[in-house]
Amino acid sequence: MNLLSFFAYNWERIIDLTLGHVVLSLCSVGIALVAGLPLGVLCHCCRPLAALILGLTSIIYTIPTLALFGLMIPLLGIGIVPAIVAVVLYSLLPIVQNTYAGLAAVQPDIREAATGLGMGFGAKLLRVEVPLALPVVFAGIRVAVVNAVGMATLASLIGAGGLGDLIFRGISTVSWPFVIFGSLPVLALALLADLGLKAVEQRLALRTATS
Amino acid sequence: MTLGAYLHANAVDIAYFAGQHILLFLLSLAAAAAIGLALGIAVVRLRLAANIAVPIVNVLQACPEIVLLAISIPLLGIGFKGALIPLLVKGVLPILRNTSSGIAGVDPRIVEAARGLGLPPARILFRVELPAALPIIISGVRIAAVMLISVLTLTAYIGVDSLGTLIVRGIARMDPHPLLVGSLLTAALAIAVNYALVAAERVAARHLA
Repeated sequence: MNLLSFFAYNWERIIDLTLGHVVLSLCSVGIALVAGLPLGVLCHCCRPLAALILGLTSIIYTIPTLALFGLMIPLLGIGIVPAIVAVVLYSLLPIVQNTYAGLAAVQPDIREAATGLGMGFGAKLLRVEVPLALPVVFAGIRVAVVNAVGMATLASLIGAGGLGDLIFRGISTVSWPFVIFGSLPVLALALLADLGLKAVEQRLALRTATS
Repeated sequence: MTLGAYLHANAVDIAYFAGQHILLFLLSLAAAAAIGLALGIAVVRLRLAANIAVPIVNVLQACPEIVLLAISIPLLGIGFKGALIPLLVKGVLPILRNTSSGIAGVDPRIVEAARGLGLPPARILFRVELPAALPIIISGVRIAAVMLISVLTLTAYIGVDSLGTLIVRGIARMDPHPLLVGSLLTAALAIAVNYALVAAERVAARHLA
């Protein structure tokens, strides 16, 4: 079957799987943000905890992705929940690390000026430190999203759908249209996320620098 | 069957897959280091190389490894040959990037001083710039190494024998034993390699100071 007729027969399914892929990636990064941003702030406020939290998240990040999905099956079974848990775990490091690094890079004299203005701990964090750290935090979010799009491909192996369905079907049946129409949308999503978020990041950095 | 019984019955298999994984890892890391270093130096030295390499690197960087693996099958077939593209791409990039940024970050006064002493450019590169950039280069090698172990697990899907084969079998048969053994061994390998190279990075940095 040639590529064109494959697409004509399967375009609805390809779009469905692409949407599922996007939802899986974004949900996971969303959950990772909700967990990771406070963890990054915690690392910043409490240095002894920083070594522990960063150490743990970097160990998780070191585990090969297939192994992480493999470990999910005995622990949580198959389906969408273990897939999201795996991607969330993997997304934590870039978010926590960049939040921590961004906050740590705020200049001490700015921090002192905020204290001098009578700002309390919370006001200083939310109105001075977090806005200044934003470009670095955003760079971490970009890395997390690009990783998640790639990793969500493997979610298909534990029955969570996504474009991996097409890719792995193509590999096991030696059918190139499946491989190609599975790979191209993943590639497009990854590049789109990378370039789009990079543009936002540059705009944020520019605004931080001029304000 | 208990995990202990599984290990006992499959010890030879498991040792073979672990050996194969480590062998292929070392081979691909050595190749990636050689290519990455050479390209990294070229990018610093030649503006033309930088103009060509940087956009390509940026695009490939965002490319998920399973996609690289999948699209290289039509080009190179299955087996270890089919794994070459993802292994080289994911292994070379971090080393290339850190070599070029490491050399570019060497204090220009040191390079100037070496030039003033009359050292030829090759000696400056090998005796001054590369040693000064070594901690950053090792950091790139570390990122590449962890990546390569991960890509090697995935190559089990195109018929390369590695610890990933155990994971693939475990998923196919829904058997927790090979899943656990394969996943834990690859995770342990990646974590051990990561720590060893973190230590090497520290030694290099201390040596420099």
